[in-house]
Amino acid sequence: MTESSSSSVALTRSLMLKRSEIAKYVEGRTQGYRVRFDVSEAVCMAAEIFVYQRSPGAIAGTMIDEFSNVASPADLEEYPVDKPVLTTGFYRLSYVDLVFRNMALLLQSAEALVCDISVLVTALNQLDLLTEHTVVLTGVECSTDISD
Amino acid sequence: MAMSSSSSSSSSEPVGCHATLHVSAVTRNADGYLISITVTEAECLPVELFVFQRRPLEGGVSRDEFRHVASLADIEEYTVAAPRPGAVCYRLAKVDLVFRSISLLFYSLRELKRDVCLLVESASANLVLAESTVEIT
Repeated sequence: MTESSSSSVALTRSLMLKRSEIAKYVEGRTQGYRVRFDVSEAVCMAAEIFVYQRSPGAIAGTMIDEFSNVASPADLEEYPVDKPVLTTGFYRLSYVDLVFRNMALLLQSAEALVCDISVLVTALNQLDLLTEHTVVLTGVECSTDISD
Repeated sequence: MAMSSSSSSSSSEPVGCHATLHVSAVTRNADGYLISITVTEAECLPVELFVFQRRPLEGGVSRDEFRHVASLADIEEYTVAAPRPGAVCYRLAKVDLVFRSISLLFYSLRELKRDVCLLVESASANLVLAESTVEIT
């Protein structure tokens, strides 16, 4: 068995987000603080990076769609876009729209979201850096136990 | 029936958020003064604006109590008609309240309408968003 390794050329991934948030409010009086992120441009990756989950509502026949998380590379592979698969209820959208109880929580969560998206881009870039191995099979390893 | 009226509330924002409340009846009985309030129509908001809490009692039964007028966050978090598994709060479009006196009834009705006005104002404020761009590489 012989091995060799090399790395491939990394793609230049990037995401452009449009961040929209409540412009005028009175702290303590305004009863909800909205922030929305839209992926306006995605280079070398899917724009649908926000995972939502659809689950049954309290009223029969109704469904609730809720934001779950920023997608991981595996989520990008597994979850469909726009509509969920029946088994899990997860799907992906290119935007997220959230309402918070106060502005501090909004700012904290928006920062965490951007951080998670940055982690996703980094993770996808790392997936491009593959270590290559050449595995030569001579049959000796497989036949050893049998012949002995 | 002692009173039947409807009222609507809207904010001073240019956007058209509003909610229409219908005060269907006030009746006097042995328990006090009963008032039934229904959100008949709303723009930019669901009609289920009243938050209820389900309290478990002995014997496997539960009691549902009106808590407050929903905030925008409550509307996002609480389900309609019944609480989600593991939660206790949910939202309805109608609330029936019983008061010990007519003055307390009118005071509470005024407070409730004020809370709905604040909610409509908040909904209007959240329609006007400031935009910025974030680039992630």
